[in-house]
Amino acid sequence: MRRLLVPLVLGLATLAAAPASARVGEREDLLGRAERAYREQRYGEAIEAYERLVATGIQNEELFYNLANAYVLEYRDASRVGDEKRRAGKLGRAILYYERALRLEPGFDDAAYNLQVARDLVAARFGADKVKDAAREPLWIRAATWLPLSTLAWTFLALDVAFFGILVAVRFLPTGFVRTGLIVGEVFVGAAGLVAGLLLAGHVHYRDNVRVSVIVADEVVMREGPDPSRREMPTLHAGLRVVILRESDGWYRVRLANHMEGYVPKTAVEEI
Amino acid sequence: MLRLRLSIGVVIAATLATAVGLEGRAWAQPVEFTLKVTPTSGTIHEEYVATVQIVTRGVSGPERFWPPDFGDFTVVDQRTSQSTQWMYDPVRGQEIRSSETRRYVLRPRRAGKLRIGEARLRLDGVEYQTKPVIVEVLEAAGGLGSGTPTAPGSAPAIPPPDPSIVGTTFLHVVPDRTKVYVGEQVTVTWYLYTRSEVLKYEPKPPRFDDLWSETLYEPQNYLNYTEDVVNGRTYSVAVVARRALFPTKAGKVVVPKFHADVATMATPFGQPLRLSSREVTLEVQPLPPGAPAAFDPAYVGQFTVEASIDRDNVPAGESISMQVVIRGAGALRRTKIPTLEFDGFTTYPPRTFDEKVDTTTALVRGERRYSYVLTPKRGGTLALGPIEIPYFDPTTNRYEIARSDVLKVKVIGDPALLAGGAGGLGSGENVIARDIRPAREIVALRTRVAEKAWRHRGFWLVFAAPAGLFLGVVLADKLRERLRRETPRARLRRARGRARKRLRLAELHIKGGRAGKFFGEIARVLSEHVEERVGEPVAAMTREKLRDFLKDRGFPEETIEALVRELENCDFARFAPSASGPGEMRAALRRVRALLTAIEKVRPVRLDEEAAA
Repeated sequence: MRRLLVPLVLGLATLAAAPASARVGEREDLLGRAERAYREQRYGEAIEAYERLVATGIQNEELFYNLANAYVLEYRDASRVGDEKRRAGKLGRAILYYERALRLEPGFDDAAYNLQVARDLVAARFGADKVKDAAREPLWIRAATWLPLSTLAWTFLALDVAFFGILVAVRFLPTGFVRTGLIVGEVFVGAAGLVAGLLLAGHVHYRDNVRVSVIVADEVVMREGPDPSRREMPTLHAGLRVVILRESDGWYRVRLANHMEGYVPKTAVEEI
Repeated sequence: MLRLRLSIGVVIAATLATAVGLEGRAWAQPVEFTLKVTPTSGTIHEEYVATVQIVTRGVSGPERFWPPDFGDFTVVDQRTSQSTQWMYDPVRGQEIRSSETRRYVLRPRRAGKLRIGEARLRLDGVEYQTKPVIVEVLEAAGGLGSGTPTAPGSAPAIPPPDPSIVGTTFLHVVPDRTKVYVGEQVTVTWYLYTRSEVLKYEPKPPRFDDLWSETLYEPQNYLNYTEDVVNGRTYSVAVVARRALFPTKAGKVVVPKFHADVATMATPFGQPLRLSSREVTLEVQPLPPGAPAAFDPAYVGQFTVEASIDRDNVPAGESISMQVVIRGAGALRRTKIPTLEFDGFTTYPPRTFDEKVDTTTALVRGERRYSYVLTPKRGGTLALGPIEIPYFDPTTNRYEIARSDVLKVKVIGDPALLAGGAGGLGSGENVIARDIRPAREIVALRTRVAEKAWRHRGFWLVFAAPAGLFLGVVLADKLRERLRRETPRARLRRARGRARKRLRLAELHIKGGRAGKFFGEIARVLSEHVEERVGEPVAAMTREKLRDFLKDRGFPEETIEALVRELENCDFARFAPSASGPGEMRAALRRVRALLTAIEKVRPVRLDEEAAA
């Protein structure tokens, strides 16, 4: 019986691990295909492979960045040959993925630079958007998202551990220079922890409750109601940031940075 | 013993002698022995000055001096000046230094890279030599205006000073010309003439209004003297400043007085005297009419322009970089960044530039390098240039134009299509030309930990853990403290524990039929329990004394009687164990348990409390 037990356990473990390793293998394969296509300037294929990778649920800023680059370069190639159909929607999606990369890593310089290039392309093609401060977040969002969520989370945890660690030390240490120093340090650690906690809470709230999105269609007309027959409002262009307020039969009610609200088709908007 | 002392004396004497010898050798070395030539590049028509500087410690100079081999230069003038100075050396303290300056005014016989050989000297039997100097002599004429500006540090024949200012020590100003155009270089030199040894010199340079100034020469550590004869008297003469001045407006422009505080052996008590040179008035002529369009008035002199591009094939949508280099003689630092426009390109002018200005030659020369970004607006082969920089040449009194070569660029594709395509950008603005930054290598396809972590329950558990740990530590500490505290309740708890143990032991004695040990055990239980309650030993008390003692402590009468009876019972049974069977022992155990409960219920009165009451 014991002789059978070991192979049985190993077999079951292999069976359990098989789907996971297959998934990893598939991802690696997709990544390889995407990177090869990108290197060989077949940006359409690179986009397809990258998009399939993203669909597996990976949240990786470099993946988003490369995908966005592929969209911009595909747009450029299509523009060179005057292929209007091929370049449609590319800039909006490029901006979406640059924004996603920056959401994960706010200090991602290359992404910020390329995002600006993509926005300039949109402005060059459709003219500068008339919505004032369209790409500018309110102050509290800028403060809360100033650091990446991971950095904030680890900083907050570290400060938490340090705070209570010092408290324990202070309780047991005799009165003296070291104890006084620790008490002073505790005040600073506590204050820093409070700030980090507030920023983390703000960041989490922003992630969970504020549905910041990007217009991915080249152009979309905002309407007063969730119906194509409703009165037209301003035309929005690719890359414009909006906040989704609610859904309604294939339409989103969105709010612009200037607090103007209206409806756009769900297909024209994607959450960052 | 005597021999040992002699040996030590010899060693000390030898060491001292060696030290003195080394010191003497170090003393004899020249502090400075250099050969300098100014300028190190220029034209064949200019004069060059070779200066050999010899500074030695002490009052004696070198034993022998060999001048440099001037090769393809002709020596047209030669002067030697000597001086002695008191110096303060941080290591040696106050000391005397002798300075000897030998100047050779040279004229080149041919163009090319000409070598001036090393100068040599012998001092205390040791020979020293300088490094040779290479001078680049060009064929092209470089002179501007009516005269030839003098080289910095050179010693041309100095125009005689006005007799009215001549004294023992005075400042003499010499401009190389007084009639110039706006923007043309005037070289002004200020000399210090003195017949007495200068103890202190502190210059107070003037502020130049309506004149752009470049410093050509300023003495660094000490003044280099030559000799000149004024009114039959020999003076030591040193250049104290030489400036290239460029008038910025027409009319009469005044070069202000140069002041200096100078103390000499002749000034009373060695106090410094404020000396001033005379003013110089320049007659500045406006530039003649007919200036070309886009003429920058700072371009007065002689200039050339060169242009180059980083590539001559460019895909539509990309940019090229154009380097523009403007070289010449004049106030290059005053010039503005040229505004360039090319047909078929959008030009992005630079905000900064690289600049090199050489003020070691007679004329201020230099170059500026600008980098322009050009974005093609249409496809095909496009021409860049020529770039034209108009300037006024005072030597010919004419406006000239410096031109670069025409450059060709092949633009592959149509940038206009890229910019907006059909229905695209009307202005032709080509923003796609900005390259995006390249893709990143994805080393590991991982989702960021924190993206999931902060949603995970584990994150909040980790967050709460330090707080929980702290609370646990505090509670454990409190508990331990409390347990340590000596209270009636704590004593009772301890007594109960002990009683439980002894009663368990007593039960074992019942089972083993050891009556003597059983009664001994329960007698101890009762005594210890009472002792714990009252806090005093009672085992050694007689029954009568115990009765009184417990009565005083507030024990009820029946409890006291039951206790005394049980203790007496135990005493009896211990000494007659065969009379007690298991049944009797169990009955005794039950009684003792009841008695222990009764003892626990008593709240003993402490005598000190009673006394206080």
